[in-house]
Amino acid sequence: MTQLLHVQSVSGGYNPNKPVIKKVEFGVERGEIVGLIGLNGAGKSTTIKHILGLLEPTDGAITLNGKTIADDLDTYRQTMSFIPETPILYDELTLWEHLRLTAMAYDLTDWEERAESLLKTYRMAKMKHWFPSNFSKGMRQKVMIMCAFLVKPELYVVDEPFLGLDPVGIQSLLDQMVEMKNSGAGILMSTHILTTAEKYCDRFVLLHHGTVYLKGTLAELRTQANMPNAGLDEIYVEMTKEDDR
Amino acid sequence: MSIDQLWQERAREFWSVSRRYITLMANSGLMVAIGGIVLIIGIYYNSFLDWLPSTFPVVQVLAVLFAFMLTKTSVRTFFQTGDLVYLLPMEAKMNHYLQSALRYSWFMQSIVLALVLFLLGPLYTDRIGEFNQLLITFLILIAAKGWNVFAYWSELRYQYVSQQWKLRWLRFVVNLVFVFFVFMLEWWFVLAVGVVMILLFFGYYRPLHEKYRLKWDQLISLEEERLNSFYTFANAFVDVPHIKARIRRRSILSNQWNRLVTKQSNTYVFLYGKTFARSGDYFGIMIRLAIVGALLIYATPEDLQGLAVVIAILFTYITGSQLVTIYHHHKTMVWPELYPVPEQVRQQSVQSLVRNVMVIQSIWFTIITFITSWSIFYSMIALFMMLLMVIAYVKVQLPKWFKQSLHALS
Repeated sequence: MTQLLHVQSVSGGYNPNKPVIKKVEFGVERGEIVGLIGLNGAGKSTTIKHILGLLEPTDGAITLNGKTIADDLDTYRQTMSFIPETPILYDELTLWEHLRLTAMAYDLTDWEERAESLLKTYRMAKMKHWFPSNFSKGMRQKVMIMCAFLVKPELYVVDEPFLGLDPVGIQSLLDQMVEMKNSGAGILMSTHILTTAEKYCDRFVLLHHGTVYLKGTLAELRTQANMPNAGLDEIYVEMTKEDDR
Repeated sequence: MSIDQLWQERAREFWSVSRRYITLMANSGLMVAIGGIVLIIGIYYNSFLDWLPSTFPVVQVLAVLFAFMLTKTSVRTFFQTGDLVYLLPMEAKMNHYLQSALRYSWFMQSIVLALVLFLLGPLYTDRIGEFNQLLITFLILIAAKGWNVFAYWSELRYQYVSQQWKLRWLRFVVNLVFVFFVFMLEWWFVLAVGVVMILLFFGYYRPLHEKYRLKWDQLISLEEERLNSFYTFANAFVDVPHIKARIRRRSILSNQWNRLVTKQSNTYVFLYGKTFARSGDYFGIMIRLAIVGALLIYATPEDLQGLAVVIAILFTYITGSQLVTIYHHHKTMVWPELYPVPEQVRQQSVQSLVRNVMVIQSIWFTIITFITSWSIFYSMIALFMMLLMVIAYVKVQLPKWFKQSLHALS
C-alpha cells in the first residue's frame, strides 16, 4: 500500500529564485498524527499550501495515495480536508448552511445526523442558524473544525487549530483527531503548542528556515539532537539557539 | 503630533475623503435629486400653506419634530479601533480632544436644525409669529442643541444601553415641553424650563463625567456605525469599494435554495443562490433595475414603442452583466479552490443563476408593457427579443467572459 501523503523533496514558495521551502521531504501514514513544528516563518504554512495544491512546487512532487494533483484533481481534493489557522467563513451563510454546503461539495450522504452530533459536541447547536458575523473567533474556528470532520476524509491538514478555542473545544478536537486516527485517517497538524503536540503526535517534522531540520518520533528526535531525556519543547528551543550562533 | 492636534488631524482626514465622495455623488445624480426636491418644494409651498387647514396643529407638530431633532444627537469622536490600544492610556488628557468633538458635533447639527427651520420659516410666519420671533427661536434652538449634545455625551458614560435609552426618553420629554413653549411664544415658561435644564446640566450631567469613565468600546462602534451610514448613503450614488455589503437574512427569498437536493452538482447553485439572496449587491441591483426599467417603459410615449423594446432589452442585459460578477464574489475564499467540484460545474451554476434572473426580469418588463396598454403584438415582440438576447448572452458571451476571467487570474 502506498503512503497516504508523500512530500517528495519539494521546493517552492512565491518566487522561483527565492524558495521558501527547500527539498522538504516527509510523509504521513494512515492512522498517525504528524506534528509539523517550526518557528514563525519556518515555512509551515507554505508547506501546507503546497500540500493543499494552492501552490505548485518548483521542484519535487506531492502525492496522495501515490497520485499527484495533476493526475486527478478532484480525487486529490476529495481525499483531504483542511482546518485553516484563521477561520474563513462565508458571510452569506449560516452555520448550518456551511455544513450543508460542505456536504454538497464533498458529496456526502447521511451527513445530517453527523452534523447534528458535531453541533452538540462543540456546543454550537443553539447557533445553528446564526450568521458568522455574530461569532467569536473561537466559534468561527469551531465551524471550520466541524466542516472538516463532517467530510471524514483520509487526510486532515490542520494548521494551528487551538488558538481561540475554549477548553471544551480543544478537548473535543483532540478526542476527535484520535478517533479519526484510530479509524485509519492520517493527520498533519502544524502547531506551536508543543506540550499538546508531544502528547498527541506520533511523529514530528521540525522545519527550520524552509528545510526539514529533524524528523521522527520523539525518541528519534532525542537521539538526533543528542538530548536523551529532553522534551519536545527543549529540543525546539535548542534548535532555535542554533540560529543565534 | 500632540493629542490636542489629533482631533483636528482626523477631522481634516475625514473631510478630505468625504469631499471626494461628495464630488463624485454630485456628479452622479445627487445634485439633480436635491435640485428636484427643492424645485418641487418651491413650486408647491404656497399652495400647500393655503391648503393646510387652519385647524391643523402646527405648534404641536413642530414641537414634536424639533423635540425629536434635538433629542437625536450624535457626537463625532473620530475614534478608531486602534484607539482602544493607543488612546486608552491618554484618557485623562483627552479633554481638549473631546471638547473639539463636542463643539464640532454641536455646530454640524445646528446647521441641520437651521436648514429645517429655514424650510419651515414661511409656515412659522404664516401661523405662529413674527420674523423676529423666528430669529429668537432659532437662537434658542441652537442653545438647546448644545445642551443636548452635552447631555447625550454624558448619557454615554452609562455602561448599559437600556439606561441610556431611559435617559434619552426623559430628555425627549424635557425637549418636547421646552420646544412647545418656544412655539407657543410663552417666553416665561421657556425661561423656567431653561433654568431646569441648566440645573440638570450642573446637577446631573456634569457629575456623570466625574463618576464614570469613557465607554471606549461603545464609542468606537458608534463611530463606525456613523461612518458606515455615510458610506452606505454614498454607495447609493457611487461605488464605495471598502464598504462591506450588509448581509440580510431575507428568509422568504433565500429559503428557496433550501429545497435543493444535497448533492455535489448543487454546491454552487446553493452558494451563489444564497449569496444572491442575501448580499446587498446583487438582489438590490436587480430590484433597482427592475424599478427604473419599468418606469422608463411606462413613461415612453405610445408612438415610440420601438424605443421601449430597446429599453427593456437593455435593462435585462444590464441586469445580467451586473449579476455575473457574483462569480468573483468569493474569490478571497480558499474553499472554492479546495472543493472537489470541477470548475465547469461552478460556471454552469453561475450561468443558470444569471439566466433565471434575466428571464424573470424579462417577464417583469413584459408584464409592465401589458399594463401600459401596448398592443399585444409589441409586448410579444419585446418578450421574444429579450429571451433571444438572454440565450445569446448566457450561451455565447458568458463562456468567453469566464475564459477571460480565468486568464486574468492566472
